[in-house]
Amino acid sequence: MSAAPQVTLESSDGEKFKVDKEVAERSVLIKNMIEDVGESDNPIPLPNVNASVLKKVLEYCEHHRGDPLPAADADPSNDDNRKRATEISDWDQKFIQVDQEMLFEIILAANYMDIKPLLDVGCKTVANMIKGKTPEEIRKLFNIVNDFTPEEEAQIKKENEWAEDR
Amino acid sequence: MTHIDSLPPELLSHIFYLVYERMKGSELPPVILNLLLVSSYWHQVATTSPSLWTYIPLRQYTESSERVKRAVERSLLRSGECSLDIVVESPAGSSESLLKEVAKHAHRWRTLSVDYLTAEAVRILEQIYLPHLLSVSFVELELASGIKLDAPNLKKVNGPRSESDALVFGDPSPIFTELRYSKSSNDTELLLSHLRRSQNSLKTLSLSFTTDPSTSFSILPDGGTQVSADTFGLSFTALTDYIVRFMSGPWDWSPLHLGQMPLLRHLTIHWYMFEDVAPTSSIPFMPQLLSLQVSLDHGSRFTKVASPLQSATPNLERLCLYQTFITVSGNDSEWLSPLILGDQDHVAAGWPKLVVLRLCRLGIPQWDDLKSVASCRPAFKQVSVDRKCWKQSKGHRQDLNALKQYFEVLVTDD
Repeated sequence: MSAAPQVTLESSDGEKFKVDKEVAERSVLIKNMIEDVGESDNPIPLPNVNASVLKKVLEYCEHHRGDPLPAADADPSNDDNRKRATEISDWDQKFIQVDQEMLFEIILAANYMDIKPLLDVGCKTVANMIKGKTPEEIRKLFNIVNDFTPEEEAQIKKENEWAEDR
Repeated sequence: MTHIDSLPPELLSHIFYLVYERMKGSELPPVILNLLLVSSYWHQVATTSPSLWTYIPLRQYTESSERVKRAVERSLLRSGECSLDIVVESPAGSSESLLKEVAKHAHRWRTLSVDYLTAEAVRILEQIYLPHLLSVSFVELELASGIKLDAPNLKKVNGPRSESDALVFGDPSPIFTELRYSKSSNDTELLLSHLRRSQNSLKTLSLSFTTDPSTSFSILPDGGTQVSADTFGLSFTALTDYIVRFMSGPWDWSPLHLGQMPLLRHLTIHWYMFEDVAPTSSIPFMPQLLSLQVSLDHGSRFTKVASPLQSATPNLERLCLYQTFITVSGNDSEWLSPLILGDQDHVAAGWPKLVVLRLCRLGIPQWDDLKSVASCRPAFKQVSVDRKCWKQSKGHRQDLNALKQYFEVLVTDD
């Protein structure tokens, strides 16, 4: 029995990762690159992803190898699709329990490498962190500077506080 | 260090949308306000994300409340060409002028939820064409003379109550996947036309019979007393969820037409003002059924119907018993007796695959009884009770926590 075909990926800091082609092709970017240039022994460069992030991304791709790929035209108004939009599986939840810097790096890498399910897991995790928090709590959580003047804040509140009319 | 603001605007916008989806509903305006107030970058991203401005609540509004009007106009503008979710909930004041404004965007309406309508608002809704409306809900709304909507692509309907034809559609009539309908005495033909058209696409059907079915369904050719789907040649080939409510009896199983629902998984039956015991001979065999909720005024009714029900639904995994009237000193153990086998019983337990038992608005006199519900059913995992049931059981000086060593015990809202 012949071994599964493999490809080599090269991170921005020069580290090389040899992985099964099936695993690497969870990334639409890599899949398209392989289709465009054909199979080759040359490493595929990923100049926007460093080794520590790429290692984590490949861990995700390895775990989800063989999963059905998401439909590109999923209807967001469909209840099932909306439900899926809010759910994170147990494995994915554990996988994404990383520090904030790594979390945002994974999101950026998933976006660059076009791995939609991983991008969803990252974005949902950040959304869960934001949900139910006040502006001050959000700023504190993500270390964001409040650059509004008191007058600007008052104006935004005035424009958008519909709820008071209930 | 990679910071959240390193994310490009389209990703931050997508994250905001996920927050918005989770919080959709009454908390929404404050949720969006919280995002807007974080920083000028977040404000810029949020105000240029059309999908965050699609929820348009038309609430209690007076002509002097220009601020609300401006907020609606701002949302209509910021939402670009995105589909809109319209909520009309205005028990006082006048929201017609706002509704007229929002009606200019009728081509974008995706969902419509209404719990109050003036005659003028009905007139406005009847005049607009809603080509992309997928879902409409008239929550507990009573209309004097019904409403006609021109919404050919509607899929989900929660109809209003009305003494005459409650919900009529323009041509072409929509085909539903979900229909929740409160039937009055005068709209049998209308209901049947909805059912005929959508019989192969309906996945969820909820019917409430607000009047005695023995009088409201008197149109059968043989002068019978109930609507019979067989008689009308209906077959619900895609239906998975069926909820039926009768306000009074007597009542028969045949109107449910359960035999022609091959994919039925979840069945909910409510009998209010039960006058007689439902005949049991006509209960069809439903091996496909996984979940059953039975609402009755008293446990003795359930005792009489339980045995044939158990035979008819051998693969049931989830059972919910709901008492419609809370009795002061009722003997709630009657509800549980069909689920319990004594030591001397040598017959197999009914519903042998039961996993979850939910009890609503009834007390549990003997918690030991619940232990035996689990002991004869190997897959049994959970008893779930509502808060009323929990309190009543406490009233019986029971401690449901003591059951947690045998199975999971949950106390949840209705």
